Amino acid sequence: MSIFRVFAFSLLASTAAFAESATVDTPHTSVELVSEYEAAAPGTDQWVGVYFKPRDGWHVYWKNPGDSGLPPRGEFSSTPGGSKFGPIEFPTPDRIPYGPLVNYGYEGSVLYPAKWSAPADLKVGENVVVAVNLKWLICKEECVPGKATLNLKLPVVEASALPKTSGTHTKILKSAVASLSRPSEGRVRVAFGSGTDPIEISFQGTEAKGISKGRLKSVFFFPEGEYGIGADAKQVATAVPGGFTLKVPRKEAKPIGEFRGVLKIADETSFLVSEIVDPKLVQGTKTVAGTTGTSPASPPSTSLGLMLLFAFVGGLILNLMPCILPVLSIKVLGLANQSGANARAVRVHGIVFTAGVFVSFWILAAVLLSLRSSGQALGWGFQLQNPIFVGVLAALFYGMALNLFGVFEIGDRWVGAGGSLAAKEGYGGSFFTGVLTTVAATPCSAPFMGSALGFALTQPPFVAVLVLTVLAFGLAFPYLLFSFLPAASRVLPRPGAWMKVLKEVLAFPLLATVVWLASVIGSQAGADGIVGLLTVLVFVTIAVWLLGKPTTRTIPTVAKWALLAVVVVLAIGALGSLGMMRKEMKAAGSTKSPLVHAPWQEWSPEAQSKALAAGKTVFVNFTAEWCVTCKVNETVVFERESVRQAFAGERVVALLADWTNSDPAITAALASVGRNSVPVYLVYKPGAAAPKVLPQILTVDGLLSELR
Amino acid sequence: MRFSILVSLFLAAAGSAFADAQIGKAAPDFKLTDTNGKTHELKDLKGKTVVLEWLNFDCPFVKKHYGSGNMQKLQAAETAKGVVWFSIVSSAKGKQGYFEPKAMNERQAKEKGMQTAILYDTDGKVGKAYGAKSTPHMFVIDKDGKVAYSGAIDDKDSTDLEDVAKAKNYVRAALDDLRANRKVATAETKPYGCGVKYQ
Repeated sequence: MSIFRVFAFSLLASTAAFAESATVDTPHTSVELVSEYEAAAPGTDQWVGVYFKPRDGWHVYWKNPGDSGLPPRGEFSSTPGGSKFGPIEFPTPDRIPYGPLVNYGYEGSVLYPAKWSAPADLKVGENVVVAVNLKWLICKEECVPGKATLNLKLPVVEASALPKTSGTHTKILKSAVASLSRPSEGRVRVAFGSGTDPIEISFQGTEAKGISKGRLKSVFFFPEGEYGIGADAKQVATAVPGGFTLKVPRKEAKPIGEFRGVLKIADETSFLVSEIVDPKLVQGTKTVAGTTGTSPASPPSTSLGLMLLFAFVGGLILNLMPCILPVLSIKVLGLANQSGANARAVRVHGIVFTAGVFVSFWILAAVLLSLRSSGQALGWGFQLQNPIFVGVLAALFYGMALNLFGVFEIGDRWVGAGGSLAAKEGYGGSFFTGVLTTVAATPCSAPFMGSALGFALTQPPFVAVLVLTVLAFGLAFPYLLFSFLPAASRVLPRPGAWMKVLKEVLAFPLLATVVWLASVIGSQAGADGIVGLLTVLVFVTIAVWLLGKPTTRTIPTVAKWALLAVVVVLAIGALGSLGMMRKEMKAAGSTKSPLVHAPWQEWSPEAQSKALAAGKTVFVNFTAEWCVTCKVNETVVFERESVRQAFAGERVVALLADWTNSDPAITAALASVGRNSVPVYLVYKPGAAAPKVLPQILTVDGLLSELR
Repeated sequence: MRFSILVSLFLAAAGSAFADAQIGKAAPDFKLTDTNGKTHELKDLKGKTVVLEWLNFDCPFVKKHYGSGNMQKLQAAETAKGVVWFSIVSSAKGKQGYFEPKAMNERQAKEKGMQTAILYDTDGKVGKAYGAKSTPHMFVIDKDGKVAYSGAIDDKDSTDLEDVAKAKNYVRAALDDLRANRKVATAETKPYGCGVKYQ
C-alpha cells in the first residue's frame, strides 16, 4: 500500500497546494476563501465562499457536472470550533459543450457561497479562523484535479459593528447569493409524459413576457439528477401567451421520484424547479394534481382528443350550473310552446338554437383571441369585467321579464321564447335563445370546462375554436336531443291556459338575475353604479310602456317615437356612465376587493410567497363577483363554521384573488396552472413546489381533508 | 385525470429510438483494431462476458484507478476467469489519451495494464453508439450479447487515490452477479470522469 501512497503524493504534488493563506494559485485557476464581512461576530450568520477565477478556457463545475467532470467539494471548519456551515451552494451554471458532450459549469469567475453561523462564544477582540478543505476538478481539453486548505483569519467584533466591516468581497458575495436560483412561486409547471415523452416545463410570468426568439434559444433547464435526460439533449422553448414552454427530451424512461433542477431564462434570471413525482402513478408519468387539472403544456397530439372530451362534458355540465337557470326557464317555456308543433318544426327549432349557441361561441372566441393576441390578459367571462356589458345584460333580462309579464308584446302572437327578437317566425327566437344561453353561461365555469378552456387559449386559433365549438355543442346537446326525440314532446302537456301562468312565473328568475347583476355592478362601480343601473331600468320601463301599453295609443305616433329615441339615448348615456364610475372608483384608490374579509387576506404574489416562506399551507381562492359557481361554493362551503375555523387557524393562510375586474397578475397566476376561468382553488403545501388544483365544485369534507 | 394517463400511455406506445446502449438490450456491435493491428468483433464473442472500459491514460480519474492498481487488479482477476476486457480509446488523433500503437503499448506496459486488448475508436463511432461519456465509462456485456451494466466503475466520484479502498466497485459486483446467474443488482449508474476526447 505504501508504494501507492508515494505515487499518490507525487501525483498530487503537481496539482495540489496547501496554503496557510486564504488564496491559492495554480496554473489553471486561483481560488480564494472569502467572507461577506472582514470580521465575525459571536453567534451571527454571514456568507463565506470559495471564489474561483479560472484561466482562459478552463472551467469548473455545477452540482451536476453533466456528461463528465466533478463539482468542487469542501469541508469547512473554524478555530475556535463550534461553527455551523451550510452546504456549498451552486450558482446558476452555463452550458459548456465539448464535442458531442455537454458539461454544466462555469467558464468565468464563480463564487460558491456557503452559510456560516459563527460560534456564540467568540470573544470580541480575539480572532477566528475559518478554514476549508477544498477539492476540485478543473478542465479545458484535459482535466486537472486540485486540492487546497485555505485559511481566513477574521477579527471578532460586536454584532452591531459587523456591517461596518463590509469589504471587497461583500458585494461579490451578496450578488452571488442573490443569483442563486429562486423558487418559482408556482409560475413554473412541469408535465411528465409517459415513457420517453419529453418533460415539458412551462413558465408564466413577466420575466418571459414577449420573450424574443433569440432569448428563447438560451432558455435551458439544468437537471440536478439523471431523470433519463441526456446532458446533450436538445431543449427547445416555444413562446406561449404570457411565457414559454420548454421541451426537455428524455432518452430513457427512468422512474423519476423527485424532479429537481434550475430553469435558466437569462443570465440573471433563473428559478428552482422541484417536483415530487407520485410513485403511485405509472412509472415516470405525472400530470398535475387535481381532478380537473391538466397542463397547458401538453402537446396537442397527446391531449387534444382528451381536451375535446373535457369540453363536451364541461358544456353538458354547464347546463346544471346556476347561472344558466334564467335561460333554462326561457328554454323550457320555448319547449312547452312547441308542444303543439309538429315534430319537424321542433327539430328545426333545436338546430337553430344550436346554431345560435355556436355562432355566439365563435364570436366570443374571435373577440377573446384577437384581444389576447393584442396582448391583453383576458379570460373566460372577461366581458363581465366590464360594467357597461353587465348593465346591458341586466337591462336585457329586465326587459324580457316585463315581456313575460305581458307588459308589452311584439307581434300578435307570443311565439318564441327568446324575448323581443323572438317575434313572428319563432326560428329567430330560437336562435336568440341560443345566443342568450351563451351570454348567460359565461359567468359560470363547470368541472372539466376549466381545463379545456385553459388548454384552448394556449393553442393556435384553429385548435382554440375547435375546443370552444365542442364546448358549445355540449351546452346545446340536451336541447338538441330533446327536440330530436319524438317521445320527448309527447311528455309535454297540450298547450293551454297553463302556459300563460308558467310564462309569468318564469319572469321571476329573470328579475332575480337582474338583482345579481346589480350586485356585480355594485362591486365594480360602487353604489353610484347601482343607481346608474336602476336609472337604466327606469328608461327601459318607459320604452316598454311606450311600446306596449294600450294607454299610450292616445299619444301621436311621431311624439311616441321621438320620446322613445330620447329614452334610448338617455339609457345609453346612463350605461356609459357606469364605465366612468368604475374609473373614478379605481382612481379614488378603493382598489381593495370588497370580497376580502376575515378570514381571507388579499392575494398577491408577494403575500403568497411570504406565507409559503413562513411554512404555512396556503389556500388561494380565485373568484369574481360575477362568478356564480364561486358564489355557490362561498355559501355552501366557505361560510361553514368548520371551514372558517380551518382558514382562521395558525397553519393555514387563506388568500382571495378577486378577478371581478380585469387584473393581469391574477390572469397570469391562473395561466400558470393552465386556467383561464374562475373559480380556481389551489392548495400549496409547505415544501411542495407545485400547488394542488382542487375541483371547482367543493365539498366541506373534501376541502378540509386537503388542508389537513 | 386518471384516464388522461391511459390516453397518453396509449399514444406514447410508439416509443422512440435510442442512440445509447440500453440495459437488457443487445449491445451495439463493433469491429475495432487493437494496438497490434488485430481486429476484434463483438459478435464473435457470443458466449463470453465482455467488459468495455473507455480509456484515456492521462485523465486524472483514470490515473486514480491505474495509479492505485485498482483497474489492473480487476482486469487480471476477471480475464483469468475468462472475461474479455477491452479498453477502448475514443480520443481523436492529437487529443489527450491518443497514442500511436507503439507508444500505446509502451504506456500499457508502464501502467501494467492487464486488459485483453486496447482498441482504437479514433473516429468515436463506437463511443457514440454506446453513449460513452467519460473515462472511465464502463460497460459489461453478458454471454448473450446484452448490456448487463453501464456506468461508473465505482461509487466514489473523485480523483483521490485514497477513495479507491472505500469504494464499492460496480463492475466487479455486476460480474459476480452474472457468474452467480443473479440479476445484476446495480445495472446502471451515472458514469464519472473526464469527457471522452471525441474529435
